[in-house]
Amino acid sequence: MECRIYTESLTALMDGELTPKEETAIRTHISGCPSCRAEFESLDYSYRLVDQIDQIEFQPASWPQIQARLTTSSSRGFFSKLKFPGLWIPIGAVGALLLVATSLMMQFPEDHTDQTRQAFQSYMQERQQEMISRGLIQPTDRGNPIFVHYNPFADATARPKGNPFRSER
Amino acid sequence: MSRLASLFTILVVSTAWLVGQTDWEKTRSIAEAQHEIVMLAIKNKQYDKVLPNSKKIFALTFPANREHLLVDHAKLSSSLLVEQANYPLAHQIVDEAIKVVHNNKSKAALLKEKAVICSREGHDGDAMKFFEQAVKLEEGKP
Amino acid sequence: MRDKDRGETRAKNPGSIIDPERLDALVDAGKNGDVTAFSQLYALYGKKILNYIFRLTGSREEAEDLMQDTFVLAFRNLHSLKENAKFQSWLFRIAQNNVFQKYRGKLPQIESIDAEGSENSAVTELASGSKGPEEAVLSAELERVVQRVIGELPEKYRQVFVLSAIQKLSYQEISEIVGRSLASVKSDIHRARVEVRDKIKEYLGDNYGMSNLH
Repeated sequence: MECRIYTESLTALMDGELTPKEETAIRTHISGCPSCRAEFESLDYSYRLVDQIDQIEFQPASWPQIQARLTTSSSRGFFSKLKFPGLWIPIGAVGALLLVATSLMMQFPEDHTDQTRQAFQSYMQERQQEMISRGLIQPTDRGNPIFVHYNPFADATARPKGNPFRSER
Repeated sequence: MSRLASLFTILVVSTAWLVGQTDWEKTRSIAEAQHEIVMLAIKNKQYDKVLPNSKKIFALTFPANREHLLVDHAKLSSSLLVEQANYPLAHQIVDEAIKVVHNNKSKAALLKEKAVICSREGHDGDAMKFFEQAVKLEEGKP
Repeated sequence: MRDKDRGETRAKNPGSIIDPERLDALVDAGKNGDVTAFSQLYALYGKKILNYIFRLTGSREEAEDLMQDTFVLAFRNLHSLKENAKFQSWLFRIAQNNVFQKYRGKLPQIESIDAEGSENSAVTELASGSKGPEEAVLSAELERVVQRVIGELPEKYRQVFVLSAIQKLSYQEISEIVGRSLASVKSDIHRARVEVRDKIKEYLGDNYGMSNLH
């Protein structure tokens, strides 16, 4: 039984996560217990094996791709998914497409996607305002709001504030 | 006789109302406790406790006029999780809430919440998709 | 960065790999939209995040994509980071959440990479370098065994194992990343380590304990 307590802390010992007192206690036990010492050595060996494996080399050269995404609002990875090397679209074809697209836009109603985006932006602002007015969040100068502790109902009748299910009549 | 019948009707209706209130009070009390647990779990980043305890709220029967409270719980939980960048769990909570709500207003509110999560994740396309679904639901379109 | 300490107590990564004041300044600048400052954070933490995701997914290509997503998300949500000093654990959390989101809450099954002439370029890359041919072969074999063993770990053990054994993070930081208590993390790391030891022993058979480790 005592051994089990110590063996469960062997990894913490090897990871340097024990207090000095705990470490002394385990080391004292290991030095006098052959089975725990064997377990320690076996685990230690696997630690050293795992330590041998290498890490993938990182190439900061991919930063421009990330930077491009930071400055646009498009969803990720569109260009990275074009895995056709040497795909070149003639400028003339691009121009023709633009011409067609422009004429279509002039004939058809306003792009709903733009309307949706605007509506969504308005909704986000309204949502923020609603949460502030209900006392659910407090805005801060740093931009990240503070969430008021469990307070979705800021009612006028002095019912205790709390979670949405408290004292609902 | 008619007076007796009226009295009897009033008695039956009152009893039903009282029973209903008792049922609701029980539900409300359970939900209140579970909400506290969920909020604390999120605050302490004990994410493995969040969904199971939220599901206990979603398993309760909410009258139609109280469904907005369930929506509030899902929105609050989701907002906190988004602030902690735990988008998958935020999605899961809202998805579970969508499964149990009945009226379109609640569904639309939750779909909008999905849109908010997606937007914060950087998946703007998905955000627009969910927002459009919500708007269609609010407008009564299929 | 490999841990070269072969003593009984291994050196742990500090909470931050850069000077805390510099980290604070870079994160603050990033919060104000300074992309150049953020690029420095990318240079400092990119390798850790890449390797973490690689160990969770087993795929170099996925790791590259998800790493990019992680930094894009981090920049967009930097304002939600309340303590700049917790940037590393916060970034790891975004990375793992991206993995879970991609694989719908479950870590991917990592394919066994044990065939000779495997097309897994990450394994080949890792095994090459300045090693001699014999060493490179042994190293590649070890890499395959360890990666396979990691892939066979249950989800929650795989996470903490990679963070502890490979990323060398403290238990406290791991607890913040995975969102579980310190006691739970300590217990899971122990179980993960024992399971990894048992599996490596199974694969290596009589050779376990015989290799000439440096």
